[in-house]
Amino acid sequence: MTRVVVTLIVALAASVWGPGLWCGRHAQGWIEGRASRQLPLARAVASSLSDLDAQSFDTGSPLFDGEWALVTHQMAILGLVQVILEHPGAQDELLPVVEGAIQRMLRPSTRRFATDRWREDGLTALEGDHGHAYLGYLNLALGAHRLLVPDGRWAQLHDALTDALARRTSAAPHALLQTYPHEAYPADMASVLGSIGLHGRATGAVHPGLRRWLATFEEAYVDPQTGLLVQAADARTGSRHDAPRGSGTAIAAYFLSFADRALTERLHGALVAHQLSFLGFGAVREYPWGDGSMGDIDSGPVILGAGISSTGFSLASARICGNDVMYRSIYRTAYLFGAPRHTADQVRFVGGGPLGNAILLAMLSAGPAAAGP
Amino acid sequence: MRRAAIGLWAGGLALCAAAHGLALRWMDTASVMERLLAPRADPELLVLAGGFVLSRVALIVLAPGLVAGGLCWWLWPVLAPRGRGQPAPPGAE
Repeated sequence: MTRVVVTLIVALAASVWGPGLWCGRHAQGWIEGRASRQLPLARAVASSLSDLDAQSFDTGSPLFDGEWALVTHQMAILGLVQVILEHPGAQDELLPVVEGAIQRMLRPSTRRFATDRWREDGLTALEGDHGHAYLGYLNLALGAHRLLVPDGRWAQLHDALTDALARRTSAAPHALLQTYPHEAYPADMASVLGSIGLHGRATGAVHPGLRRWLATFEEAYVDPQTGLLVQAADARTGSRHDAPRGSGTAIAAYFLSFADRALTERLHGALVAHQLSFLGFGAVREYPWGDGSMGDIDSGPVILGAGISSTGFSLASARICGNDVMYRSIYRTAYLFGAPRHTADQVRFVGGGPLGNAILLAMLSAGPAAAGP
Repeated sequence: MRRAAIGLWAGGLALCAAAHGLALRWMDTASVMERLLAPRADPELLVLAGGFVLSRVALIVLAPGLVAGGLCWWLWPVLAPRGRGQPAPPGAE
């Protein structure tokens, strides 16, 4: 009888604590930025990028296909640059991949999804006044590259694009640029502001209006009750078009880390307040407590309140802010559902695809390119 | 009988781990997640991918308990505290 009872207790205890220990066994290596953790995922992301474009995705919407291709390249570039900054010895191997990805981002076909909406190519219309806030994603990638190669072949384009985004932001009444006509998303604007900050750090020419725009942005789009960032708003009036949400907050916390670490820390505090945890596995709510809304293309599936995007993106601010407990708990969840597969010198999350792996690389390795405290 | 039971326990766990490894390989090489994003994804693929995720969660949750519980059960005759002078239970030798 004793044998049965003790066996059941041991089995139960192992099933309660074992999965968390197993799934989190590599988390410390990621927290410390060990090359043995970062390089295999970096190589897998690099190998997935060759010839990747909008045709590589088939969501049923050319707009989403194009957006995903752009974000896959941007996240891959940010992640690879962060790995290089943490492990300079990897530069010879990874910098050519970064530059190849930038070349693909610069192809007109990569921006066609937005060109069709605006009826003009954002990169050839830099003198114009239209928002084109999605160009913040490209500008962040150019800025990350410039941290490594200050006088590289894209320096002039980086300056011109930053100037255009800064000029438009200065003219915007509520520190918000439209991503597409009549559509504006504070998370995209966070990429614009982050990219202006990163340009200043890469070149030493900090933009004089940045502090003011960041303050206006925070006041207008960070919900005072929840601390989360509003997902969509009207660029002309500053009024809200959507609820404050975890996915936009988490990715904005990452983008803004390139310009203003203190704001990243405040947004991270809101993510912590919306964290879910079960037996050591962590997740972040997509909507504020008490809001049971379903997910959309931004959030991915929302399961018991937890959003896939809000959870994955929160890894970045957790690492930047030194919140090891939250990072470890979300890493366990990513390991459980992402299902990493190790091959010779690579590791790939089979549940992620090219976009998911690029995002995870950027989020898991976030920090080396962030602004100082 | 005891050896057969241990073999069944250890073999079953090893078989589950091997099957999971093969399924993981299939998910990766067949680009299952990319194909699932398509607007008219194959329903069979969806079921298989869902089954993979559920079986992975079940394996990771249950395996530690099965391993630890199994070890506890089979090693009980050796590890169990017994009173002074009492003979070891059958199976301890």
